[in-house]
Amino acid sequence: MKKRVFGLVFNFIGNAMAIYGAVGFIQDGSRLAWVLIGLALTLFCLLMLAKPDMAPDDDYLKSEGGGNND
Amino acid sequence: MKFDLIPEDDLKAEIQTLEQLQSCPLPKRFWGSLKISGPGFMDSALTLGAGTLTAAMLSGATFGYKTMWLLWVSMGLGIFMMAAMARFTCRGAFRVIAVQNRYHGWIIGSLMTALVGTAAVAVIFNYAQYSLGTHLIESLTPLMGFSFPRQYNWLLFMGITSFLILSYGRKGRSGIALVEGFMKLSIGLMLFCFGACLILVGIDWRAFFKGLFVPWLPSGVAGLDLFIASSAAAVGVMDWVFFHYTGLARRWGRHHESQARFDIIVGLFLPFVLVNYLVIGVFAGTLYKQGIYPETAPELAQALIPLLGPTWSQVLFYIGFLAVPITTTVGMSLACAMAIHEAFGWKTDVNSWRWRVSALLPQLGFLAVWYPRPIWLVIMIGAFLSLTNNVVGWSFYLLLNDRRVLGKDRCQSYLWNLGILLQITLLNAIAIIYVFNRLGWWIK
Repeated sequence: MKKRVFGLVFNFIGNAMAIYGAVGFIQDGSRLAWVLIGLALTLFCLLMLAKPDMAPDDDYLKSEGGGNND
Repeated sequence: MKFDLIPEDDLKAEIQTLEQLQSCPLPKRFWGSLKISGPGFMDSALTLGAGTLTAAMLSGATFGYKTMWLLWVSMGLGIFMMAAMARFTCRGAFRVIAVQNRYHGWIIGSLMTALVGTAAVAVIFNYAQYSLGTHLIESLTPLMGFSFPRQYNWLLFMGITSFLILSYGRKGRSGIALVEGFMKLSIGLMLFCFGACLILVGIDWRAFFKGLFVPWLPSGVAGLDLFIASSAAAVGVMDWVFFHYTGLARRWGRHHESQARFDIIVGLFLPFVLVNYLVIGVFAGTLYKQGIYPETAPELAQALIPLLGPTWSQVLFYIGFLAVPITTTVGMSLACAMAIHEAFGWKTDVNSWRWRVSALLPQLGFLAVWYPRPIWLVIMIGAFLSLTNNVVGWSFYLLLNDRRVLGKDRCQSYLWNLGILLQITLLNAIAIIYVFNRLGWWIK
């Protein structure tokens, strides 16, 4: 789970870099590197974060979260 | 969550019906599932509000059919998170805000998701529903031969919506069925009324299909703003929460997940895109051609009316449009009550004063008849929403993938996760653009 949290944070950073770069690129053609790095980071994070946890369930029990009808 | 519980026998009968439907031919399976559906329609009625319809009217009047593709893309992205809510309801069988509080903290659960993301939004946004609804009644009634100004007709609007709000969950299943049935009927009314107007106005089919499948955006920052806002705005925190808790109220369980997904597609996705397409089409065929660009919903409606021709079509348009704020008010009020109870850990009892007060809180919107929304509050809520919706999305994504929460029922699909993450990325973009605007870093 910690990896996923970090992944979400880095995805956010990548989004911010891409948008920051896009602002400069639209305005005066600058900051292309920001766009490319931001997009690359975003894409990497999305592809990694999309991987589901397929490891076999050992002795984990589904935790109690409150029943439907309590 | 307790309402007047749906009786166990009713639930068993419904599960039996669902099992029998699996072996039926497709048409029978469709109609059978449609009869059982409900929370999806509740959600689309909630989502199809003053803001969404105003955006559709403006889009049609300003850009014609060109931005229609945005709707199925934005709602299409939204259904991945909705499917997550269905998983929490049907297989998790837990109250998601309570689980958020447990695993991610009360700031994310009770505060961001419940109190701000759902309850505060319901109260503030209901101003717009009252403003629109009372305007529409005031405009419709002269066509029927009498006058009913806003200063008085707000009582009718409040009466109808309050009756429906307070009926939900009472007297076993019938209270839920009444409200769900009303929402379904209202969606049908919107489709019929707007559809009739569109037939009258006519459709430029070439432009229609081009707008549906060929991506187009206005150039520059307007296009970027439109894409991000539209993509992220179709389905949000309130929709996620409302679908989850109305599913819990129906006592949906493991046997219902396919039904829940059907409800998402047929009850939420299709009505949302179809109603929007009809409204865009009506305005594309009228105001767009004439180059008329009013800005608010009442102005747009008033500009449209003379162009619709005979009185009956004008009446139909107003009736279809009136269904919009009524159903949104009912949906948001129920969402408000559910969220407040979850935020404070109160047991939900629809016969309690707590429930009634929480559910009727958004009726403060009646003040819109005389006063505009307090701007400072709108800005504050807007700021908080812009900066926190994405965090709520992160929380739900994490819960869906957390084996402590869902065990073997956690997400096992790459595509599902990717869909959710794309929506989260768009929500991130909204937060980032908000901050950039405040810092003066956004495009001038």
